[in-house]
Amino acid sequence: MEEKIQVEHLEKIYCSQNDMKITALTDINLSIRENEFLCILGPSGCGKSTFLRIVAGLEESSSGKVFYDDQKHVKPRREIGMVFQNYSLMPWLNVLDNIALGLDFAKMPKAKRIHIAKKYLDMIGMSGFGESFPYELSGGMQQRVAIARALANNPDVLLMDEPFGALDAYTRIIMQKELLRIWEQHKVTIIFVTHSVDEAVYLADRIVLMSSNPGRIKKDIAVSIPRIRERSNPLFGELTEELLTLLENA
Amino acid sequence: MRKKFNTLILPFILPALLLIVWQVFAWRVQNVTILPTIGRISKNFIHATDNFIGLGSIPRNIGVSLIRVLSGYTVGVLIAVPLGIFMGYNVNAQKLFENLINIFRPIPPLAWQPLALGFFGMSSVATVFNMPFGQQHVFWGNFKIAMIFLIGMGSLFPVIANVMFGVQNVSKTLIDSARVLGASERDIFFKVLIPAAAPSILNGLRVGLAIAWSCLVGAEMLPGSMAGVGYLITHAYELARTDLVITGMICIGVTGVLLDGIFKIITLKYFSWKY
Repeated sequence: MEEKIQVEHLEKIYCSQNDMKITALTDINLSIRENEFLCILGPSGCGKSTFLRIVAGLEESSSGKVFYDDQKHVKPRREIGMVFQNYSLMPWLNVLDNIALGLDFAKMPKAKRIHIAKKYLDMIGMSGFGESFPYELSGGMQQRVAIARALANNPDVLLMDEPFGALDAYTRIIMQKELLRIWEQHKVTIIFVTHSVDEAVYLADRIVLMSSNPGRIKKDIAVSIPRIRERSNPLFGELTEELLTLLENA
Repeated sequence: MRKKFNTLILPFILPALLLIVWQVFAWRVQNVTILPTIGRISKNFIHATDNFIGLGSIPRNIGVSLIRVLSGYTVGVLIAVPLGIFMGYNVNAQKLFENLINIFRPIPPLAWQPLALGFFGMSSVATVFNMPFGQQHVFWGNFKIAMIFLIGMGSLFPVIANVMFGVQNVSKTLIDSARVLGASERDIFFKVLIPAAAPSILNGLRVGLAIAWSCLVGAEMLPGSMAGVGYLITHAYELARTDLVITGMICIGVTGVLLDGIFKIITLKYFSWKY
């Protein structure tokens, strides 16, 4: 398989208000294959969200490079979609218009983009909610719409920044299943940031464990548990245990 | 039952109490210059179309005042909304204008009265547009530029402040998510910032209109006015017609509530996503 995203010697240094330099990320090297499901796992403050924002093109790195399909990449681009933790839907647009937003930016005519948006609305199992507004939906539904909106742009890569972090435990599990179903059906490369070990083990082909101060990659683990994964599978428990131990010393 | 009481009765208890206290005091005082009775004032409203102390009917006075306020307000809004958006959008624009605005903002519009008179003298809509003498000229002569300036000054700053605040406080997540969806700067401005700030902008317009309306009496104290509710009040005061003063006050209050109601309806209709 070919490399989709390649990160070389990425470094991010912030200047705090009293001119102190804070190293958020140091020497990150990572390559993500096409259609891979990669989870970035780490404690809060390890710079995993910053990393994702740099890959998205929302923030600049201090040094190092990010390649998308072997091209150097700095600015946001349509091929790389992103799903945020919450409140990312335009509250004044209904669900269909929200899903069609990226297509609107691409200057697609209204009828055509609504047609496409409907397809994605069906995909997330919310056919009846096209005219609803975000505030009328539950947190889980809002995140489904956010995923549909990102996918409607037909990206190659989907960046997900703790997308289920604000959901209750039960909804979260349902959403994880749902995401895997969409991923199988849709075949995109996913970089999924989370601080939940369970979530990473359930979802990922590969888990990159980060540690903080400064944020860096601590371990890169391929997950070979066969899908569909069951949490009762002993391999599941073992890996979870191993990651928790690593995190404790992170 | 309880809910009915809360919505139908509760809001009217205090106004009713006010009327009772007023009436009791009026009876006790027995002096129409200090406090006329409710009956006397109702009479003014029943005969609203009469010509009061040579100043014309109540609807005519309200009409003249409304035109004044709305023209001053329109001028204020036309300056304040683009400026507020610009300041909210661009940090440097904010730095450029901030000090100037902060200095002018606490100055009550009334303080501009002498300067307004000095700047604009007795010029009015009629003289500015060079209207031929006659009925029309007399009517449009009521709308002195100095008054429009005062009212515009009153609405300018609250609108700037609210609009700027609204644009500045648009959630960064919304802007980021538009960016990753491929929005251009233009898209971000017109399809994210403006709609997201729209409720605050509307709120600014609402506050601005309320303040413009409350500047009315001050503005109409300027010489050269022969009509308007504010003028009715000052003139009635000089003639010791307290009943007409109160009549004018009620007109200002009720019209203000009605104007505000328009904004309430727009808010409920178009911005239910926010509230």
